[in-house]
Parts: sequence; C-alpha cells; structure tokens
Amino acid sequence: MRRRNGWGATVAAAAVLTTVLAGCGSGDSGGSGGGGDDSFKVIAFTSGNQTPIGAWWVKAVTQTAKDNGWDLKMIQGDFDFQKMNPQVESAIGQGADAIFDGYTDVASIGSIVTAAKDADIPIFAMDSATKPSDAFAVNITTDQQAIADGTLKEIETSLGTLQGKNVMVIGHDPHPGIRLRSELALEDLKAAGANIAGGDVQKVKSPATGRTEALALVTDYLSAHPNGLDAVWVGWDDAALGASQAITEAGSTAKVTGCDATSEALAQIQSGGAFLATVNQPWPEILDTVTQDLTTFQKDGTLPSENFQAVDVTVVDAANASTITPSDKLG
Amino acid sequence: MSTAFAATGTVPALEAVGISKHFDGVFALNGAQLSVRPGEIHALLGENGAGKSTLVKVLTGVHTPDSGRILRSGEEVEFANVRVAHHAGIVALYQELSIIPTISVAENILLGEQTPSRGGVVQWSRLRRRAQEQLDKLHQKIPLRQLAGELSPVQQTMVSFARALANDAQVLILDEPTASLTDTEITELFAVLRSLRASGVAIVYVSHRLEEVFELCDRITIMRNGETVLTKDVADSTIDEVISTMVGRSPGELFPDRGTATSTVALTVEGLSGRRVQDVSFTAHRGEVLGIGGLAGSGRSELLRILAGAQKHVSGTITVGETRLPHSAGVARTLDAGMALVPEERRSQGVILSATIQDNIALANIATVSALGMVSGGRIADITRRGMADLQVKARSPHQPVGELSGGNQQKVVLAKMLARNPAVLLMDEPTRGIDVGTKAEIYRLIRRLAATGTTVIAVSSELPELIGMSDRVLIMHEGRISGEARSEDADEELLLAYCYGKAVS
Amino acid sequence: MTTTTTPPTAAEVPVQKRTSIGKFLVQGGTTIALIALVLFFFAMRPDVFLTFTNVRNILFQVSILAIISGAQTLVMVVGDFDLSLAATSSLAGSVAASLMLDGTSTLPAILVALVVGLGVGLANGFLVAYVGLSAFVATLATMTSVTGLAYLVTEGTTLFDLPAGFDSLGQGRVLNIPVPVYIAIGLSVVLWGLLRFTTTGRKWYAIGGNVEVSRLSGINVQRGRLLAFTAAGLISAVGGILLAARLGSASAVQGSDNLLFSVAAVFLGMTVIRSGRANLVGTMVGVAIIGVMSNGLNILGVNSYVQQVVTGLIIIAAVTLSSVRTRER
Repeated sequence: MRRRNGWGATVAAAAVLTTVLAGCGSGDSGGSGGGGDDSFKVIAFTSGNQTPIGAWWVKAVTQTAKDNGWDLKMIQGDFDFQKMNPQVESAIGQGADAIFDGYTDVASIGSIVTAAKDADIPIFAMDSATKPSDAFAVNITTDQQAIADGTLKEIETSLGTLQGKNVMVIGHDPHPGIRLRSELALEDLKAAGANIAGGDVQKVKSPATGRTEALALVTDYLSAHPNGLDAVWVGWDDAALGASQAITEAGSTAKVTGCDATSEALAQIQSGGAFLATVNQPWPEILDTVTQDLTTFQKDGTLPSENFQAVDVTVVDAANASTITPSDKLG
Repeated sequence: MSTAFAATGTVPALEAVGISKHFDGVFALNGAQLSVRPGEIHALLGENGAGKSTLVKVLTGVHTPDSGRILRSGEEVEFANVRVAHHAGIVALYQELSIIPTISVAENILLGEQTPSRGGVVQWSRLRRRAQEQLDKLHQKIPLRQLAGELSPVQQTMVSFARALANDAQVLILDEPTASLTDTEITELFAVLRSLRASGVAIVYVSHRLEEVFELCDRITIMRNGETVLTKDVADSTIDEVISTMVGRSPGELFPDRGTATSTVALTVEGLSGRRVQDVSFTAHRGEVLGIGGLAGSGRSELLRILAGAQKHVSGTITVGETRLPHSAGVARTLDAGMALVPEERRSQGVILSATIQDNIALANIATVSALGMVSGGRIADITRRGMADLQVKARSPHQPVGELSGGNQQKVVLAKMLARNPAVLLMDEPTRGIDVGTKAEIYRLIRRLAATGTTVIAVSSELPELIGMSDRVLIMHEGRISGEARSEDADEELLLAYCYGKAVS
Repeated sequence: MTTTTTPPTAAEVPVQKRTSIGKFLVQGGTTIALIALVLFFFAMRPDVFLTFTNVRNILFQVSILAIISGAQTLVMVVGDFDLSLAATSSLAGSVAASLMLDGTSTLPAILVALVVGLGVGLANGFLVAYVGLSAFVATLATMTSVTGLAYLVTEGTTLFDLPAGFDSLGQGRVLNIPVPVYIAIGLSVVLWGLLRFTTTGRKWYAIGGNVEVSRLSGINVQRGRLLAFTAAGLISAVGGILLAARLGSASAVQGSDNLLFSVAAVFLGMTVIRSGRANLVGTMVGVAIIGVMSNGLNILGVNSYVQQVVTGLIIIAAVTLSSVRTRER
C-alpha cells in the first residue's frame, strides 16, 4: 500500500477526471441524450467529489453504470451548490429515468428536488439526509446513534467509566451527519455523568482546516486546563488526528475517537497512541444496495418500499484496525 | 547676472530644430524650434493644444519625432526612450510624478542605480552624505530620513530637483511647477531656480501663469498650432504682447463687456463662521458676477465650499433668494435651493474622467432625466445636446469619455452639468485654472451670458487681473474675513493686493 | 497619544525627531491593540496566559502564518498582492509529501517542493509584470489552478506517514522551543534585512510608491515585481513544507485559512507605521494579534464562531484607531 507512484497516480487521476469531465461514463450506449434512445438514463451528482470518499463514489458509480449499461450523466459540484444545482436541473430538463445523489444533503438541493418531482423522476440517495425525507425514493445512510454509541463505548472501556470524566466534543455544524452524531454523543455523555469540556460542542469552522483548528483548540484548552481532559470525542477523523497530535504534544494521557476510518486514523490506532478508535461506515455495501434498488426500478419500475434506511457501522479499534479497508482507499 | 552667464554659453544646452510630429494624420508639431542656453530660464508658452507638451515629450525621449533634429550642446542626438534622454542630462519634472512617497528623502534623491551599494546592500551613510550634498546645493534643509510623502509640496519639488542634480541634469524641464504651491513656497522655489540658473543649468519653464513667467524667466518661446511663432527676451516683451501672440489676437478681447446687475438680492450671507472663515457677511444680486479673491489660505475656497454645502460651518446663515438654508444643509439640499458649485479640482471633483460627456451630465441631473425611478435616455440625450451646443464643447460625440477632452472642454462639461439644473446662484472655484488663454475668453463670455439671463455668479480666483476683468464687484478675504470690497471698474491690482495683505485702504 | 499632547517647546522645531523605536511604539492603534489584548488575556487568566508553555504554544501556532505573511508583505511592498500564496504553500507541502512517499529522500523532496513554489511565484510575477494582468486576476487564476494541482498530487486524500526526519522539522524542538518558531524568526529577520538594507528591497519600496518615477530613475520595474512574486512563492513553499511536517501529513487544502489571515496581518501591519506602507515589523505585529486573539479566546473558552466575529471587529478597531490618528496629524 505504501508503494505508490505519486506522479503516475497524478496522471491517472488526471485521466479519470478528464473522462468524467467529458460528461459520459463511456457506457455502452455511447452518446448522451438521444430522444429515441431507450437506454436507462441516470443523472448522478455529488458535491463532495474533492473528498476521498466522494472521489471513490464518482469512480464507483461510473463503473456501476458501465456494468449495468446505464446512460450516465455525472455532475461534480466541488462543494459549490450555486454551480452544481443548475447543472443538475438542466440535466433533469433534458430528461432522465432516475437520479442518484451521493453525499449531498437534502437541505442543499431543494431546487433539484422540486425539479425532479415536477419531472416525476425518483431520486435514489446515499448519505443525503439523517432523517427520512419525502425528497428521496430511498436514502440509505449510516446509523448516527450507532456511531455515537460505539465510539463512546470505546472511551468508557478505556477510562473505566464516563462518570465524572472530562470529555471534549468537537463537531462541525454544516455537515448534517457530523452535527447529528456530535449532538447525540453530547447527550449521551451528559447522561453518563461526564463533564463536557467547554460546556458545549466545540465547533470547527472549515473542514479544509479541520486538523489545524482542532490542534490549536485542544492545545489551548490543555494550556488553560492542564490535565483537564480525559478524552476528546471528534466527529470525523481529520480533526481527530489534530486533537490526537495536540494531546501527544502536551503530554496528556487523554484518548481520542474519530469517525470515517481513514488510513491515517487506522495507522494511528494501530500505533497505540492517543487515538483510540474510529468508525467504519460500509459505503461499498450501501452503494451496492442503492444500485440494487436502481436496477430493480430499471427493470420493472418498482420503487423501494422504505424510503430511509440507517445501516449499522463497525467500530474500529486496535483489535480490528488491520482488517478494515480505509475509506480513502476504497477506489 | 543671468545674462552674463548666458553670454558665455553661446552653444545652446538643448536645441530643437524643425521638429515635426503627427498623430493619426494630425500634426501636433510642425517644424517647431526651441533653443535653450545654459544658465537661462526659458519659458515655453502657448495655449493648450499648441504643441508644448508634445515638444517636451520629444525632447525627453517619450516620443520620437517624424523629422527634425535635436542638438545637445551642439551635438546631434537621438533619444530612443526616456532613459537615453535622462542619461544625456535632460530631465522633465511633472508635478504629480515628482517623488516616491513611501521611501525616505535620501533614497528619493539617489534613486535606483544611483543608490550607493556594495554587494547588493545599501550603504546608508554614503547615501545620506551624497544626498545631503545635493540638498546643500539647493540650500535646502530637509530631514534625510523622513518619508518623502510626508513633505510639503514645495519640499517634494525640491527633492525632485535634488534628484535631477544627482543625475547630473543639465537641462531641467518643469511643467506648471507652481500649481499646488502657496505664495511663499513659490518665492522659495523661484530662489532655488535662480540659483540653479546661476550654476549653469538650463531650465525650460512651462506655465500658464504669465505673471510668474515675467518675474522669473529670461526668454520666452511661444508656440501656436504646433509651430514656434516667437522667441525673444522677456525684458523686451509685455504680457499683452505674449497673450496676443499666443491667441493670435489682442488681449482686449479676453474679457467681455460687463453687464448690469439688478438690485434683486439673490444670496444673503450673514455672520458665517467655520474652518478658516470668520464672520463673513455679504449679499449678491441677480445677474451679478461677484469675484472673491485673497491669498492662498485666506479662506476664499473654504467660503465657497461652505456656501455649496460641501463643508460644515459653525455659525451664521445662508439665504438663497427667499429660502433660508438649514444649518450645514449639505450639497443636495443646497443644489435643490438653486445654488451649485463648479469645483477647482476639475479632474478629481468635477467630472468622472472615464465616463462619457453624456453620463457626466446625466449623473448631476439624475432627477431631471428620470421618471418613476427609470432613467430616460431621450431626456439625457436632449439635455446633453443642449448643454454641449450652449457651451460649444469640442468633442467627437456625446459619447466621448471626458478624459479625452482638453482641459478647457472638460471645464465646459462641468459647467454644462451644473447649468442643466438652471441654478439661481453658480459658485465657481478658479474657473479658468489650467485652461489656455483662448478657452479662458470663452469661459468669461459664458459667465457673462449667464449673468445676463439673471444667474448670479460667484467666482473665486487667485489671479487679480481675472478678478477685475470678469467681475462686477470684488470681495477680498484676509485670514478668514472680508478685508475689502470694490466695484471692479474702480479697482486696480494694487488696491486689491493691499486688501489681500489685510491693509486698510482709506 | 503622547506625541500630540506634548506641546513642542520653542527649542525643538516641528520636525519630528524621535528614535524609530519610539516612533514605532506610539504610531498606531495597532500596537496598542496588541498590548491591550495581551493585558486583557493576562488579566483574565494570569495563571495561564503568559506562562512559558502558552507563549510557546502561541509562537508555534503562528509560525507558519508568520512565514506566509512575510511572503505576502514582499508582494504588498511592490503594491500588489498574492491570492495564491496559501494554495502554493499547500501544493509545496503536498509535492514534498508525495515525493517522500514515493521513496525520494527528504532533502531532494524538499528542494523540489521549493522549486515548485518558486515556479508558481515566477508564473504569477510573469503574468503581472510582463503580461500585464492585474494581480487580483492573475493570482486568483493561479490559486485555482494550483489548488487543482494539489488535489491531483494528493489524489484528493491526505498524505501521511512521512519520514521521521521530515516530521521533526515541524514537530521537533531545540532548547524546548519548536523548530518552526526558529525558522519563522530566522526568515522574518532575513526578509526584514532584505527590505531594509538591500538595493532590491529599496527598489521594491520605490516601485510600490511610484511606478513612473521608479522607471524614470532606471529601476527595472518589471523585473522588480517578478522578483517579489517569485520570492513570495518560494517563501510560501517553505511555509507549506513546514505545515506538512508540523501535521505529519499533507492535503490539498490544509492551511487555506492562511491566505486571508496573511492579508489581514499585512494590512494590520501597514497601520503600525505612519506612512501606511507594508512593512515586516508591522506584519509580525499583525500576526501576533491574530495569534494572541485565537489562543486567548480559546483559553477563555469562547465559541469559535464568536471568535471569528471578534477577530474581524478587532481588525476594524485597530485600523480605525490608527486612521483616526493619521487624520489628527
């Protein structure tokens, strides 16, 4: 896994991007949009294509489309809804059979949902809302409560108890999943009798600088409250890595948990430092399920019976870290 | 003493022979001549558009001439660019381009390649010593470590002289060097220019201020229509001769006949006080041209700004016709009351240079040209056409950017803009500053025409002959107060100057 | 305040005669704001704020911002600004990390990353000085492309598991002080000397002050601007490499907040001296304000959203205070 060729990979990534940007997944049907074409037309979009998981999703969906002979239009939003939404809507205007939303929250795509409803095109989604929503024919996501429960259990096991322990919770509100699981963790911690460091969820402003922000936040907190932390619960791995570095540098014995199972977090967990556990979310399996729903719809027009599904997750600690495929190495 | 030096310098320091230059098929210079001796101050005069600035640009390497020769101390030279001319000792100093505000005085004097350095490191002590030497030559005491941007305008001019000396400049070309200087500063500048002359530097002095030219210069060259029409000693010439040569007609025609002011009061000012203005009271009548004079800093411009609502005042009242303006009414309400200002700084306050004539005029009359919040293109075109025709603005079309027009025509656009509002009282600050003599006459005629239609014109001017020539009545200010008043047919420059210095005249 | 209230005695004539240090101290509200902030946080948490550990934390936290801001200062001295600096630093960090993961040893990887930064700076300088694009347009465009390149180099992931020797550049300590602090101080001193003592630096100031006069005085304006942008690119690469070493990882967007903070620091610094020009000492005061604010508010447990609002307000307050002082003169 370490043996990788940086420049080669760069060229490969460029090639993939070029293919994707060309607008068609080079499926069997070849052309996009002809009126009399009876191929199954799918519009897929994600705003998170610049994240590793988003990039994996783009590749995986492109491959799935090829395998199933879909006429795929892939739209990548670069976190820019002002750019992405009109593109998706104009694609809807040209006609499609189904829409596939990857990792784009329902709150950000109101106009797309309306356009799809008007055109009577169902939206199949993964990780696009934390609650059931009429916007989607189906939305499969991970169980946020299970994520909070699993990580807190790891902390409790490590500390012996949560009662009277000082725990910091670090979240990022604009991400609905992180926001929900941070709030759940906060409530559970309070219920278990832990002291919340800083009194509330500590908020990171930008995911881009999540690691440096968490690093400064925890460093400064430990500076103001030496030995004031027993654990730091973080909503995602990148920021958790910053928190863990701060703890190591300050010589604290506090433990950190994250979420996402990135390769870097897995390596940290295996090295036995401050980083205690993370959570693996089964994206490939979820993708398979959504694909299944799509092909069923393609065959006989049947929509899934349930429009929301929250699947269970795997807590990853030193015991099983070596068996997990990191989320940034899915593709 | 200058003539003694000039006698020894028989070979001209710089000579231009038969220079021609055309742009887009139009001749800007047509066989122009100029010969400047070492140790003389040589005035280069002419109306705007006569070719002065093009000739200066040819002499400093900005433009290459189509034909003609340039001789530097008798040797023919070719200036491919500004730096070549610079190396030949020819330096032009423009007011706005004289210094670099963000670095010290010493560095300004020894800029760029002149800065003493060893191994890429500036040698500060040598830098300061050599800069001081240059300042000493000019008898200037300016702190070397101070940032040039913090100096007064005249000090900045001195620093640019010092830099010219450091560059071993033998020919200095000055373009309107006194434009932003006070009277005492001008005196200081002249002293320095005279000492430079005594040391053998040839100075070309471009100015519209003829009084200064006659005070300072040794010889004059007058240009008209791209040709050199006259070169002679100042001692053998008169201002009248110069003006008539520049304009091509006699100066008597410069000022139109006075009109007859009515007795209806158009503006009443009582006990007005504010920054630089102390307890000023006066009235002005319909159809009257009232001139306001005074030395720089006497408060004349501030008075005008207070009247226009552009500057707040402390106490006193302003009444336009029957309407008493609220205290510190502001520009918009003053305009509504019928009083409009044509500011002095035309380029920064009067017009938007990048906008077209039509847009400039529309902007000031946005209420007139719009209905229900929508701007009417037809009405704009209408008032623009009328304004341009009235004022004889010389432009290709109403859609030409104002920045492309000559100074005189820019001033006409400012006027057109204000006149479209039909103001009862028109305030003008230095209405002819930076405008050539020919256009000046047009502006004076226009002022007179406005007065004839009942408008009251209140004009501030620093030139006494202008005050007397264009006004019906003159007020002079001294240290914020009105120090004297005269009907212009009874006034002469001597009397007004006495008022300017605050002397009571019985 | 002190200068204006003391009436000049007859003996000392108006020209301000003050040592540059004294002048510097009384100049702007900005320095006062920094001192006030330090005193405020010290008063709030006397047991924590000025302890060795916390001061070291602050220095560590601002060291990379200080380097990027130093680079921004150079460009702003010539009267331009560079929007691509933070992106360039991320790219340099990513390139170094990627090469090291490929098996390139540390030193060559760092050198290549520095050359990449130099190259981006050169491109910016060429576009601005020779092609004649506005700095805003040119560096906005390179920022976009450079960020894209960084995504390509990192494949959108976070590169980690860098050699220990490399990580120690960012995490190691000498005399109990982190290495980046020394590098930031060293670079700042070099840049200060460059701007103050070398002909290159003085030419940059001349260009920034008045392009026309500079040109007429034989200064090669185009080359000066090219050089300033190039130097800024190179220095920002140093910052990016250090950030990667400090975090032990590199991503395409890490440190992206350094762009706005660096511009803010230089602007704050411009208010420190009377002439209002970009200057290195002032920039470091600006960096210190930003660092002290962030650390102090964290220590007081202030919500990070509130912190952001307060940071903006402090910048406005400092700039307003010093512009009021300028007007009084």
